[in-house]
Amino acid sequence: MILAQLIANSIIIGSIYALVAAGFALVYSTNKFMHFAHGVMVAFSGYMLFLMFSILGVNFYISCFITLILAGLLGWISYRVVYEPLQKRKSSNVILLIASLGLLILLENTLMIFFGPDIKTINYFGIAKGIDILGAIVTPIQIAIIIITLVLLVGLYFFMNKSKIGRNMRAVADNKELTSITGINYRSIADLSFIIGSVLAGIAGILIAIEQNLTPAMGTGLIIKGFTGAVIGSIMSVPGSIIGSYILGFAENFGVWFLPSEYKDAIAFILLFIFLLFKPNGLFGVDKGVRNK
Amino acid sequence: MILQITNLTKHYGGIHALDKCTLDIAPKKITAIIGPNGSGKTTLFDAITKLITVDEGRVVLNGKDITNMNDYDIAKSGISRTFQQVRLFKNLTIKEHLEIALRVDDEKLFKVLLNKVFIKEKNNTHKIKEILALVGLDKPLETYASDLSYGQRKLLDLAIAIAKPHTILLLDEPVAGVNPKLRVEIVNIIKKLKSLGETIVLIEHDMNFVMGLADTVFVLEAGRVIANGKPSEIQNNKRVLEAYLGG
Amino acid sequence: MIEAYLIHLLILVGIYSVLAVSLNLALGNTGLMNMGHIAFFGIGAYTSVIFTKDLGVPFFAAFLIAGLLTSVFGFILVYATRKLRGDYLALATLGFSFVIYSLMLNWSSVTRGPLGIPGISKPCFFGLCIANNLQYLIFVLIISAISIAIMYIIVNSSFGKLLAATRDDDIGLRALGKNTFMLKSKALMISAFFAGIAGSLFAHYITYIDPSSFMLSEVILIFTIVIVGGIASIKGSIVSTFLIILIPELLRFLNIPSSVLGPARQIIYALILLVIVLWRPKGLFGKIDLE
Repeated sequence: MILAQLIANSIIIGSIYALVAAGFALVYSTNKFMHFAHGVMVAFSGYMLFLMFSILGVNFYISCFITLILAGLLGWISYRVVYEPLQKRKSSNVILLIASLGLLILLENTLMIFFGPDIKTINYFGIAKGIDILGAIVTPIQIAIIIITLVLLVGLYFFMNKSKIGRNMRAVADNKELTSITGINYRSIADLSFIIGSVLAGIAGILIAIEQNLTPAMGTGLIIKGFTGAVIGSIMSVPGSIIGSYILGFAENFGVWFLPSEYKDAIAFILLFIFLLFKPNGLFGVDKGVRNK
Repeated sequence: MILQITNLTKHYGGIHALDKCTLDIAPKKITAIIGPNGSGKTTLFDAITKLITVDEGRVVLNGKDITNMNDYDIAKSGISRTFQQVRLFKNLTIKEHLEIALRVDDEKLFKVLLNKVFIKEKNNTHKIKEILALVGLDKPLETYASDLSYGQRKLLDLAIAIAKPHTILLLDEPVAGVNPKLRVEIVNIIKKLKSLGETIVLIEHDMNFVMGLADTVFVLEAGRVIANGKPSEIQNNKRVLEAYLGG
Repeated sequence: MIEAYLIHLLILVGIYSVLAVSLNLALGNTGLMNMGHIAFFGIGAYTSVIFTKDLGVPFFAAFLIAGLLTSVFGFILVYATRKLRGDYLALATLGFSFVIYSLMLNWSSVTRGPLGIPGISKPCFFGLCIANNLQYLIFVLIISAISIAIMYIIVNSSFGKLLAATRDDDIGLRALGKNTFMLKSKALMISAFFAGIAGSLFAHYITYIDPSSFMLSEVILIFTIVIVGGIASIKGSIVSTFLIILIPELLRFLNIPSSVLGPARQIIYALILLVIVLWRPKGLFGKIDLE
């Protein structure tokens, strides 16, 4: 059943994109700038797991745990060292965007120097036999990816809507100026958005490391996909960007029915460009008009 | 009538920013548009100059319907305006501002390049100095806009509106936020412009300010003209006083 | 040996200075946050190569066609993005460069995809062909000097002042009766034209092109050059091209394995970019703050 397989593949890749997009949209909605270096958090986490588990031989689950701490830490440091000084100087979003691209290139090439350009694999679970679900062959790891993603995203939803901290974050997302009057500490909210966003990226990194391969440049590819998903849904909304990511997953897998298969990657670029031009607020965004600066 | 505004209407959601606003502007006179804050004065200017698009109504300048023209074409056809929050080019000098305002075919790249390479560009320093003297902006020509004080920026904004070829001048709160001394100076500039034959429309929320200055006054409330006439007539109009005191 | 190496570097400096000055014309002088400039470079390179190699057009004609066709793409980009501002404009133009990149990668029947196009001929003029790199350097220097001189005249003309004015306050300039959309279109078309001919110069020098020369990391490289030199400063862009091209070459004198050389160079670019953005937003020669 090719249709079932395509659906399964769409959901699996959509889940990975959704993890990346959710963190990216979380940072964007609370801070109002594009943290492109978010992509490198995924690659960084994959390599940290590789370093601890495959090179240093640390227990797998402890390695995962430390990896997530390091991912959160790197996200937090990025905010404090690069973005916060620029925000204080009231730099425009464009400058923050350029800085984030600089940071992306910096970290990605640092990985390249330490780990080399060749592909790395972490073969912890071995090669599992695929399970047949309604005609689609899916490996246990892939099922785990889908389940973990859904659990995390539902958890994130409840955190954002039910907990006090989460509600504060959403208040900042809605109106940054107002929150400083109401006594919410913007700085700690920003810190938190980077830490949570980067940990989500870290989880994506671990899942990819187990299921696929690691390359230093994978972060750039993933942030473009995650960002595209976010733009399709709505860059201002975490749930919107998650739905957008699944839409992208389906578009990529089903697009090859209409286009030559080598155009698979181009689908995301073309969708991104079309959405930025014609629907920059995404499918689920509130239309406040295209923002000026 | 030089400028005829008929039934201009603009809604934002349920709010009527302009509601069948109708007024005629007489040439070579000072017309003041007054009204409480939020009565639609600046919206009216923005509608005339096409910064916003109206839902209904017509604007006719010198017999020509300009309602559906682009903002820059409207400006080209003879409407000069200033802004409440001045819009200057912070990295350009006073001289450059006035040159941009004075020139009409600087958008034509090839013509500009031919002139630059083969013919000397027209020197209009004399004209620039004349306009600066008129508004009383006494700063070196090479001063950057970002180095000017608030009052000086107001004057430069006025100067470029005057320098730009025009048949009518729209001044959006020309004395808002300026000190009393400059306020007097700006009043004198406006009077002098009138004596030079300019048609001036100005927005002001302070009724007393326009009394000694304007020839005709229109009073706006909730986007509608509720009264018009000579300042002395307006001053004692019951509806106007209600709008001001009640609003 | 060292001479050949210096000539090689100077040719690159010549080509990249045209690329940087043309980006600065859009970015610095007009305020158009165009992250698709590298795509213009690529379009110019591929156009020139396809016209000379596949269609047998003489070099100089192909060189001009490269500039003109890229200029058309410049207009398409500015028209498509006319309603966007700030970071959305930056991202849409970045998206444009991704689209062009994937076209180069996937339109194999024309571009040969990831294999790239090898064996590109050196330029010939009426039967006289450029025989060595020294001659190519002279050719590049002449073209660069003419290109930069034209851009210098443009930004210092009354037309150039209009570009600066639309950067500083678009609405204010429209109120003075200037069609700012046409101004921006012309600016980006000029910018794209020179990026296109720089692409042609690049392709016929390297004699081999593939999509990897026109990727995201290259966007960062030219942005770094422009930002380090200073917004709206032609002099800055030229000096900065020298620095940015030459500084990483110092790595060659350290005994670094060649596999590390590429990433190390990228790290240097990224660090320089971050340092300038964080601590010296005017760049080396800029008068205007990066905002």
